[in-house]
Amino acid sequence: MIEVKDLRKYFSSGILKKQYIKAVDGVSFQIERGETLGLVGESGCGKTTVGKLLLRLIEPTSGKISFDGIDLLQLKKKELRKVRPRMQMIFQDPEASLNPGMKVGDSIAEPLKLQGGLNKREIKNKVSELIETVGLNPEHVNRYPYQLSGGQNQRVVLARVLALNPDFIVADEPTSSLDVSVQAQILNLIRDLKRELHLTLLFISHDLEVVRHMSDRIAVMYHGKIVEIGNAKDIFNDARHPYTNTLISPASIVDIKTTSDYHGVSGCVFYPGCPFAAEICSKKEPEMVEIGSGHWVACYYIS
Amino acid sequence: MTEIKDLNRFWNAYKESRLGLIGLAILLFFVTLAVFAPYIAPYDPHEMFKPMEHPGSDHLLGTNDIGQDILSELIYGARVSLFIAFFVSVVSGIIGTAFGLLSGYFEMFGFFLMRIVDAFLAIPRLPLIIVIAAFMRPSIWNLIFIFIILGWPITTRIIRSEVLSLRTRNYVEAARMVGAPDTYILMKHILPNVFPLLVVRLIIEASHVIIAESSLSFLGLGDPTAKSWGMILHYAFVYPTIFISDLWMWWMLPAGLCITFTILSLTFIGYALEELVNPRLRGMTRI
Ligand SMILES: Nc1ncnc2c1ncn2[C@@H]1O[C@H](COP(=O)(O)OP(=O)(O)OP(=O)(O)O)[C@@H](O)[C@H]1O
Ligand SMILES: [Mg+2]
Repeated sequence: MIEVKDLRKYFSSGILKKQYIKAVDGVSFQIERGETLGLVGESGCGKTTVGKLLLRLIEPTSGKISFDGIDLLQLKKKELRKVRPRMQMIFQDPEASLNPGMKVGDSIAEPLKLQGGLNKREIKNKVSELIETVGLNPEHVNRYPYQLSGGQNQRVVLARVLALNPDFIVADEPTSSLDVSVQAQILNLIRDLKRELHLTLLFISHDLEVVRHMSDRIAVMYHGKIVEIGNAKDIFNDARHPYTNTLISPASIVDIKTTSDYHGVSGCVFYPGCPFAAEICSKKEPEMVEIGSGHWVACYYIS
Repeated sequence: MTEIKDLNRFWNAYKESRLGLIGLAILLFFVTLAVFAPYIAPYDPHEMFKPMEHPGSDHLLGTNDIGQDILSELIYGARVSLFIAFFVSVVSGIIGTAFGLLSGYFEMFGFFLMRIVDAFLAIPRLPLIIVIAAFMRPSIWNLIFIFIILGWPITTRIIRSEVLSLRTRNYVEAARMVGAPDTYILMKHILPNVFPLLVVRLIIEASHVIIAESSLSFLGLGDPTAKSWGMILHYAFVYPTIFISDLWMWWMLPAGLCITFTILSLTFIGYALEELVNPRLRGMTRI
């Protein structure tokens, strides 16, 4: 369904002396139809950037993305607009994802109106249907986002996202800004909807427990690179990369030193913080190696 | 985009600001003067009586050197000053908003337009106004033209920077995700959300225009046929004995106060609105 090859996104900053932030630095993965791939990593490692690149909300520096056989990066603006409704994104902050001046009912109806082909009555019915699907009450449609709770707003966002029957959804930390009590509800809702509607999902989070709950496979990201990818089970029971291990049981390994100059490192991105670092780790970047079926790791230590 | 309920919510928040209420009251006072001038003013401002009368029961603020009732001049003056301010801020606001939206949303267009805007902004405002006004035939419409030319680049820049931030908001990205065309996004998602900022800008622009118009008129570069407050000051100022007698107290001071209070009222309203619009300044949090 989704195939990403060597995707890179460098943000440049500074006017006189150009500096690059390698937000995403050579990422490759696939997502099968109907599968959920979890993407974990600490804050700032480039997860959101990967999500936005997949939907071409931002343009990559280089790389290849194919969506259902379509080479996304080759599409012209017009063609892209046709494909767009099939891919959607749920953002971290539900209130920011909704126009503050629009009633939430209008926000849900918007994609339907833009799509065309439905009359007013049909749109209204479809909105009611969606409202019910995501577990909101009919009276909510006339409210504004600031009048609803975070959880309710995230349901509105879901309804809106589902309006066009997408195939693929990027869910970018959809619950991290919500109260703990509603997080589980929203997560289960997303999981159930995914199953019912046969969606393909990229589920982004910095919380490994949440990702485990949601995903079939998991990719672990560190400073713009994927360091380990595999089935959820393998990642949890047989994690190989030292960074993955620090995520699973933070207490088991000494604190990783946080360094800011990792961009200058020519070897492994995790080298400055790795407890097992050897000489080679600083010299040459480790390649992805398959150590079990579909379980890939980029680390010298394991091999 | 707004409904009665929103207006109510807005008004409730606005009411919290005492400065804002004072400003609004003062402005309403002057607007009433301007709108109902023919009913409020005791005389036609062009009608001539005995010159240089001191304040008395016939003429509350006396008469000027050619016998016109000063109070009536002041009341009609509100018309001229406020009309120019209103007209300029609306027109330059429309131009500035249109360019601001386009240049914030379309990078290439924005890049080129901003160079033009920079060129305009590099020119010091008041000296340029004086130079232009000195060469053009002084008339209200020429003044309005100059003020618009100088006003739109500032509005453009302010709106543009707001659009630059709005266009990466998640709800704009979400609209793009469902296939919304650019014009739709601009009109539906961006314009309504720059609107509050625009209103603040228009109010500040209006006060600038009043200052500029008064200054020019005072210097004798205004429209001699339009009795603005600045023009009253000008004629009083060139009268030989204005400062060695008490004349200035009823001839100059009231006009000066009118200008001052109008600008103060606009500034207060601007402050109050800005506090509402700019979340960083806002003590109040939304529920
Ligand atoms: N538009 C941008 N311009 C410049 N730098 C950016 C931009 N967007 C992101 N970055 C940088 O790219 C890096 C990755 O950001 P990204 O938002 O993808 O991280 P993330 O993993 O989603 O983090 P979080 O968990 O905090 O959401 C960060 O260092 C960030 O500062
Ligand atoms: Mg993020």
